[in-house]
Amino acid sequence: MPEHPDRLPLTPDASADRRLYVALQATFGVALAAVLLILSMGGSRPAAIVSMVLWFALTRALYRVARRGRWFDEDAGALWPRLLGAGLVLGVVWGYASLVAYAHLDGTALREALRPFDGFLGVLSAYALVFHVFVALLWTTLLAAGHFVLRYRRAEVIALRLAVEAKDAELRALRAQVHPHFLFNALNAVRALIDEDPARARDAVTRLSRLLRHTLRASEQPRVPLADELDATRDYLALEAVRFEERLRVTVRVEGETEGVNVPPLVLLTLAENAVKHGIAPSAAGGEVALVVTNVGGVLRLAVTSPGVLGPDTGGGLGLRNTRARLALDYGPAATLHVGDDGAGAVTSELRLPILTP
Amino acid sequence: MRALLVDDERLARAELRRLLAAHPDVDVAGEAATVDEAARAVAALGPDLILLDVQLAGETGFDLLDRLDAVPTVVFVTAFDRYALRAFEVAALDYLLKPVDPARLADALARARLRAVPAPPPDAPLGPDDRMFVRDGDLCLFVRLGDVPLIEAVGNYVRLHAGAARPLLLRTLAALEARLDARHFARVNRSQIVGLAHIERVAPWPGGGLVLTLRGGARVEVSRRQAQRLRDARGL
Repeated sequence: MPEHPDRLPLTPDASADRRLYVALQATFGVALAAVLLILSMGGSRPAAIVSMVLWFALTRALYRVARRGRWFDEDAGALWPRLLGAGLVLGVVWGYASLVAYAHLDGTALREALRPFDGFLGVLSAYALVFHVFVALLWTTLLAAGHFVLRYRRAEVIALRLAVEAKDAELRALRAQVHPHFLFNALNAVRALIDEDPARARDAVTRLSRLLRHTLRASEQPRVPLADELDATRDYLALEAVRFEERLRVTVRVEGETEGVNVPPLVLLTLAENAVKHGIAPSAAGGEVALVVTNVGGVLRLAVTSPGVLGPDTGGGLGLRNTRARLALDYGPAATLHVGDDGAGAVTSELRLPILTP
Repeated sequence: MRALLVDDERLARAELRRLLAAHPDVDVAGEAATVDEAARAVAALGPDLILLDVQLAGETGFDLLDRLDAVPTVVFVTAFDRYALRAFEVAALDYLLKPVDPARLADALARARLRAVPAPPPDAPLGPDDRMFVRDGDLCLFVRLGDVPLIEAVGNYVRLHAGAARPLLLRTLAALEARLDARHFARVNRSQIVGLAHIERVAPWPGGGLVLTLRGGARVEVSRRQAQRLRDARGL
């Protein structure tokens, strides 16, 4: 079963949040380790290590509190002050604790550096504290910014998904109906047949009923058996042949295993409708509509050939556009619809689908 | 009434014929499946009424009407619904929806009997009761020639004044003049033809010409040469 766009996340993606956090910690870990090692050069490595350990413990605690408290679900207006306030507290605690560690574990360089403040705030260095607070605020700022980027992307995905769903609903509505123009012409022809050839008239009514039933069912089901779709398409073409008489000849060829193969409803019917609309109806001479259905190596090929020449707006009709949109929704790039002109007065619409089994 | 059935589907024509059998005064004079056949049939049969399908194997019923100098009464017969027909801007024209409701057909025939005008023989001059099919932008109209006060040359086209509409026809003024009945229409100068019934006042103009005031207020100058012809012919 191919990937379906249903798998797109609609709820906040925990793994993306997690990756953001890990990336932030890794970046800050390396940068801090480098800075602290340089600062403690010639002094106490243990104090730098204590400071690093404290950093990771405190940021992890803050992150957990934020996640538990669902801060990231808040608006920007609520998240920013909360996260920056927490960052400030974190910076002060971490800075103070680090400086205490330096003061006690490191007797030399840093101690000397802090000496001018001895009488002022004990071991507390205003400069060093500012550095720690700055690092903590930078961290919380990046964390918050990262979350907004993620949230924005998620919103885009959701909007896209909703747009796709709306389009899908529209397509379902479109698919569900038999074209009224076809329906009334068919009824008109059937009424003419009632006197002329009652047996054919009865047959046409049977086919019309089957076709209507198939299209009604199509609006309810994402997939129908290929055999049903093929029957409906045959019924449709037989009804058009009643109207167009000698102007429409139909051939159907099925090759390979098609038992148990499912297709989106009305895909083949749509191709056949296009063939009649563009290949037969505009031509007084008419011609042949040939259906070829093959199953080769797990790929289903549905091809419909009709007389005609492709105009400059190749395959831009509403029917084909809808079919393409539907296929893109259901199969992604695995399904292709190609409309080609053989240069000798025949146009072939060819659909390739990965085979789906129930 | 002599009717011509135009539809590219044989069964649709057969069905119409069957429905028309209930109306003994309607005589199906012929059938046509394409615009070409239909144009020939109109010329040969001069029907009073055309029952005309909109879509005709790659062409449309309008293509047929475009080719006719004067059109008989036309009733469109189509499977398009009212909304689809709006695309053709023919909502004001008479049409029947397929499959045709016999009661609606009877109504349409009753209306057609009231205003039935046979298409004149191919070479007969066109009089005030003859109607032309014209397009004004997307709007399709049947214009009764008697309702046209003024026809003007615009390059290779002529512009008809018909109520508020100013449809263009791909015809030269000289070609159209040759088809019009001289008892009802007069060339008044190089670029204008006037419907005589619409002249309200005639005044002399220095140099031997005339000035015509048409109903509605339009003023048209008549050249000296044409004025002489008008005086001779009609004693103005």
